Amino acid sequence: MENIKRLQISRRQLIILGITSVSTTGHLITVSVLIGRAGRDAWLAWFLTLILAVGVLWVIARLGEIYPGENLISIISRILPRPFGFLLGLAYVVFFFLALAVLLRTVTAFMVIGVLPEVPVWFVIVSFAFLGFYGVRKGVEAFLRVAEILFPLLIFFGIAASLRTMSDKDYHELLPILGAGWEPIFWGSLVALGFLGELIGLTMYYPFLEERTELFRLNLAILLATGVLFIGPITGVIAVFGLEQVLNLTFPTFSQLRSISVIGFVERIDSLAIFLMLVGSYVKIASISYACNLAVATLFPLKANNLYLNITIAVGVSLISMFIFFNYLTLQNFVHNTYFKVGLLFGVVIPCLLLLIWWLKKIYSSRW
Amino acid sequence: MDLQRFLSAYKYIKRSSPAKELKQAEEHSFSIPIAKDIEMTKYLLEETFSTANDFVIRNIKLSTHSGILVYLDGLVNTMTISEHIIKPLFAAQDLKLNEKQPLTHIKESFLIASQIQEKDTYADAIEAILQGNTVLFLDKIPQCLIIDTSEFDYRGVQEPATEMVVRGPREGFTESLLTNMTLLRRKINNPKLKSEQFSIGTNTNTKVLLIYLEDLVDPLVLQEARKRLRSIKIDSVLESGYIEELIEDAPTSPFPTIGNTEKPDIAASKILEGKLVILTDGTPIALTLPYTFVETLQVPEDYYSRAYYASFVRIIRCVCLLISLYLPGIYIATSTFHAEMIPTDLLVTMVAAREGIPWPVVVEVFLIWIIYEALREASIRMPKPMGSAVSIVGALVLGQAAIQAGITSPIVVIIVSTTAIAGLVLPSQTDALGLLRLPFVLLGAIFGFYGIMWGSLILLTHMTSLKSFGTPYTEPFAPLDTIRLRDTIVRFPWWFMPNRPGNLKVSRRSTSLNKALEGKEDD
Repeated sequence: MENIKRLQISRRQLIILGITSVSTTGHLITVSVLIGRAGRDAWLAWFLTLILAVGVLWVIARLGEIYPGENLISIISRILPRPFGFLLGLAYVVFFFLALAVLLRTVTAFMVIGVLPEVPVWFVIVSFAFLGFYGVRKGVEAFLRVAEILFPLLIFFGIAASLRTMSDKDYHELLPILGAGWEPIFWGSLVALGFLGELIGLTMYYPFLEERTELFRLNLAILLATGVLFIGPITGVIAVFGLEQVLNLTFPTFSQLRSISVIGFVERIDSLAIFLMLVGSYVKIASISYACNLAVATLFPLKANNLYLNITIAVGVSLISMFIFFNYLTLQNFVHNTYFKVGLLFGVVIPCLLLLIWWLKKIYSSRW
Repeated sequence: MDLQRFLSAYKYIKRSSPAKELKQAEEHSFSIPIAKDIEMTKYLLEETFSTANDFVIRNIKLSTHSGILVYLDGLVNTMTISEHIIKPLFAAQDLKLNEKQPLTHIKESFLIASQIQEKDTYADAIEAILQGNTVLFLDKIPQCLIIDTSEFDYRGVQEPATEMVVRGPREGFTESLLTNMTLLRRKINNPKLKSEQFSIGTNTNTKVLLIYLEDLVDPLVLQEARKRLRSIKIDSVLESGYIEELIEDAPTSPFPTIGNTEKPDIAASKILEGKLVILTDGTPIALTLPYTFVETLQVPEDYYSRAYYASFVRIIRCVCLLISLYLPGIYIATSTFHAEMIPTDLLVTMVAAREGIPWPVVVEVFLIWIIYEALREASIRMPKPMGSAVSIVGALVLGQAAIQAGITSPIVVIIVSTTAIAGLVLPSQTDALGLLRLPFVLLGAIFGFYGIMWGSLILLTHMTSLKSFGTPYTEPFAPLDTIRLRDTIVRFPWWFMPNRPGNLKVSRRSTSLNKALEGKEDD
């Protein structure tokens, strides 16, 4: 653990990491899944998700504060007895691995469907896996600095694209509000909460924070920023295309970008979408790979950022992306029907149970 | 030590030992104390400088001692030796010297020189002779006097050809270490300006000065710089580039992590930012460290002209940096994969211009690029009078003949020449930009924008992973330092920067960096 602990990151970097992670999955998956479940009221579902997420992020922050300087895997081993702790730690490694594979395959699908139709899928997967591998090899400080440098650009382009499509938006498309009642909103928010469950990965980075931080406030900053940033895309795509058309779009936010021309000179700005997705995916792939790496290094007596472990993760994730999610339909089915449940289990249920067990243990030890 | 035994052993070693052993033996024999017997000293020095035709031994006779004056002709001012050493010694020939400390007596009462030192080993004496000093040995005295008589012919202080300015000081460093140090002292009249001397190169014993301002320097960086300079193992140092390569953090990276300058005002400004300057004897190029990427965008004139104009020029430099790195790759990517992005009118013009060109755009770009690089290399190396001839050939070949012959289109000539001009705006990164352009051209030609952006992320990750003596290369952008950000892409007016931004480095340096450096020390 010694070499792991010596690395340090700032609060700003962790917030940027959180926002970038949520945004990437958000643009690629959450927006379309949320609209698919909650329809016109997706924005209401998103608000409900944010309210529920506040509780989840409090739990995650509390765990981090109870065991300062410990990552999720070591926290689990502190709360649960050895065999259970080890097995749950291993399960989290599998979860990180799965999250990585899903992201890799989704972003590949985005590139292949959207901008690189002639390039083989395997090549895009390998190129993304290599990016992640390179980022991890260069260290957490390096890829978080990349995020820190490019984050203002991402925000600027995102806001500019949103403003540029303002004239095409008809917000009457969002009416009637609550047309289908509360049920779709509830299910939609639960699905979105499942995707936000990936934020549990942040706990792997808590020990690196250079300043003593109130973790809940930090998590809340991430949540508020992503909450505000996502209202635009969720409502924007419905306002531009209408609900019926959005439901047929694979990547609605990307389709919205395609309709933009810049000052009547640059006709299509697909490259902007490539840029936004590539940067976001890179940061997220590198961060989950690193988290996976740390989790394995904490479970087993291994050195953090071990070369062979990095290679194994990059190759393993590439193979899963290629052979298990062999086409986009398989991936879509998995993401829409199964993956959010996995996210809910590992990102919401288990952390809450862990806190509950810690609390019960505390009460038990204080009484006896 | 017995004279005969020493001499026979020395002769034996010199005759029979292989070069390495001989060197060790010589080093060993030089580190021994100076012999009382003047004949032994004389013999040893004659053997040491046996093939040096500029080596001079001048016998002198005093009342109680005989002695020798030793120096290398050409490195010394002979007038100084005659007037300030030999003449006073002759005048004192009949005087009785202090029996216990004759050398101190001579030093204090007779010799007229600014610097005189007493030493007691042959190693010190020989080093001093090689540096242009005159050494006085006396019989029966196991010490010597090292008298500063050095004088070399050096180029005067001139404006450096590589760092011209419209407004600002015109003086540049010279090949003389002493002159360079003086130039710095004239800029920073402060007793806290410290210089530490190192001797590097087993054969050249080149003098190297590590200069810093005691109050501002980061002690950990200073410690690290000392450590790295001491650890250099090389036979010769003929230019500061040797040292740069041996002490920089990432010698395999295309990006320099140690800066260099020929101008004392730049070196002084770096020192005032708490950085270190390394001066090397025999070269006008000073090294500055730590060096961050943002320094690429800064030139001294930015601080001498108005802040608004300086900021405007810096933005131009940023644009040039991007043009130099990306323009050919983006052109190839756009025309090959993303034609839909180009406005129709421009696309029609581009297609019409390429009509009849027999090869793909990427080959066209490479062809013109190679011709440009060849012309550039030729114009740097060839004699000056031929410059105009090459310019005419270049202009004709590139500008007209190639287009008329249907080898290339005018737009590619414009792209390559714009890229070339943009690259020259940032001299410190010209090498890196030239090298990195190639991968971006290839990535753009094979994978379009996706390839270029993929390459950019790899490049940016590489840059953010670089450190220069513990300072992140991409500072103050990442890690973000809002105060130092005031002197980056835009230069804020001075009243917004009461302290030089760099001065804050020590106090603002994150604990992680300190720890990282401390960790390095431990290792």
